Amino acid sequence: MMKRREFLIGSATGLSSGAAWGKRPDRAKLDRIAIMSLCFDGVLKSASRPADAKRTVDIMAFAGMIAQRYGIHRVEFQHTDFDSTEPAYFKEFRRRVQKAKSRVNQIVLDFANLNVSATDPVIRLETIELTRSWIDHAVELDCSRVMVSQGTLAPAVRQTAIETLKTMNAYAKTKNIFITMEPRWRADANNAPWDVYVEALKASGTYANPDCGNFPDNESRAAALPILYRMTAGSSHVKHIPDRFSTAGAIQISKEAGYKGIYTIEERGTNGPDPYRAVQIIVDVLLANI
Amino acid sequence: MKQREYFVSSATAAASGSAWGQQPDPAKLDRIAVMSLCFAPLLKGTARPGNPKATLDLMDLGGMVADRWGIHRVEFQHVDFPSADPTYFEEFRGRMKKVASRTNQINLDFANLNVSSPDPVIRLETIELTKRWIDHAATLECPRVMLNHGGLAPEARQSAIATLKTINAYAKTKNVLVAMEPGNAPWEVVVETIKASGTWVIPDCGNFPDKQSRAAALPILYRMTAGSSHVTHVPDKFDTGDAIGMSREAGYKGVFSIVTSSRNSPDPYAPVQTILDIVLANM
Repeated sequence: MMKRREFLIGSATGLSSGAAWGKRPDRAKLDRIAIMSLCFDGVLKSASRPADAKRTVDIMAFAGMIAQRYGIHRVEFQHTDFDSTEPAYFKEFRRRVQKAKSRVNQIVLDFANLNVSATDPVIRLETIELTRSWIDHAVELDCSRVMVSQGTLAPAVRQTAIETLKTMNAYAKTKNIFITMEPRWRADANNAPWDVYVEALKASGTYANPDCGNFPDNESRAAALPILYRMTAGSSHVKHIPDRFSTAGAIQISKEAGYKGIYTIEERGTNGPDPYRAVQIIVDVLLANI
Repeated sequence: MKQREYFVSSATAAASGSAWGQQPDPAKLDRIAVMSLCFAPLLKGTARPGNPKATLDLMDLGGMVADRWGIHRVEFQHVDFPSADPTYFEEFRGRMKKVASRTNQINLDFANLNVSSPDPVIRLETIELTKRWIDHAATLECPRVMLNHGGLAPEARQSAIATLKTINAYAKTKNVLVAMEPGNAPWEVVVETIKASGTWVIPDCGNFPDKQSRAAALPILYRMTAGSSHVTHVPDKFDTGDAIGMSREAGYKGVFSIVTSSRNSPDPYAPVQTILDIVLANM
């Protein structure tokens, strides 16, 4: 017998945002969906790969493309997406996002070799400084959240990592920006279990960015998500990896936790080589389940 | 005895004039700075917790240098500062003012970040972090920051120059000068880059592979400064008095900032005194 969540996913894929049947998707539901630039990493124009013919999407045009194609008006960026950090660039960027009637949902910071769990205090200080810069840029882009990397949160560095997060968070509060972190307890990553990550969130006063894909098994996912969805700054990440977990099941957990925030689609090739189609699959799952 | 040897030996004997009870010329002392790097083993810091030799608080360095040598310019590495919070820098500036001293320059040497990176993201992060420190320099009323040029390899040079121009444009809005010293790249390349980016030179007599390149470069570099230079003393490699002589001949009127390393002596105070005496005798 087909389980309820499998039915929901199957029917959602058939719906394709309602477009296949000429129906308009529910506007209120679309307003709770964001799409990460990371989904289109392979087609985004890149200063480091200017000759790559597959890269046809200018980051400035990204919000417009998402709005036009999916009717979704929230977009989330990696800090590495931006070609410049000059005020004039961000002013133009904000104008382009506004022109698409969109907004920047979150900026994800993933600095090269810098994170709050560094053992070296100089590295931690550089992490604070760069994060502060991006908090300022988030303000320039009318974006209310930045997500930082917690690094390993290993026992030996946990307290200094928490202190570093507190320092960042104190600055962020002065700018009305939320600092978030996502669980990153993957088999392939040297990161802390989710309960350690929750401890760090609580101790530092920062917020969770739940991500249903970032757990090594269904048991930890089922244990963590109800807690994490109550600790958000209004946004979360959604992956869809059917052979590992049920996305619909994860969304159901969020609903049972009373979550009313944003579901941001993170797709990195697990739903086919065409990023447009792969994102559509997750849009459909979300529309059918939120 | 050659003239330069005379200067060095007489300067060492003079020990800033203190050996004879003389007061050094205040106008000369006003053109001298001391780098925190000279006292790295003694500086307290989160990087050296529990080190019993680390007894000197960074907040007290300006006062110590002023008391001991009558020098009121101190130069810092960005890694010296245990905090980058505005309250910390306000307190730091207050402590410097209390001893009538000023921050001569802040030297930025970021982990894994520099303008010569082939990765545009790394270059952008370099710009961002440098801007933060330009702001901090402005808070500390420090007129200069020195950057690490990162090697300036031919394939990275144009993007390095563009990155430096961006940094320099921001620095100008804060009345801070952006400077680089020769080293890790041929001095001619550093000069070209500095000219192209509108930045400034920090001459350092110790940063040359041989006497010929030093003699060729220093007269040019001392005419391209932002008002400061580094002075090292490695007697078996070059003559410091001679290098200072070149600066005079180039019409240099700026600051000589003393830099020593632990290889100079187990006592960090002594090599500073040695270089101070040489500078006073030759400038």
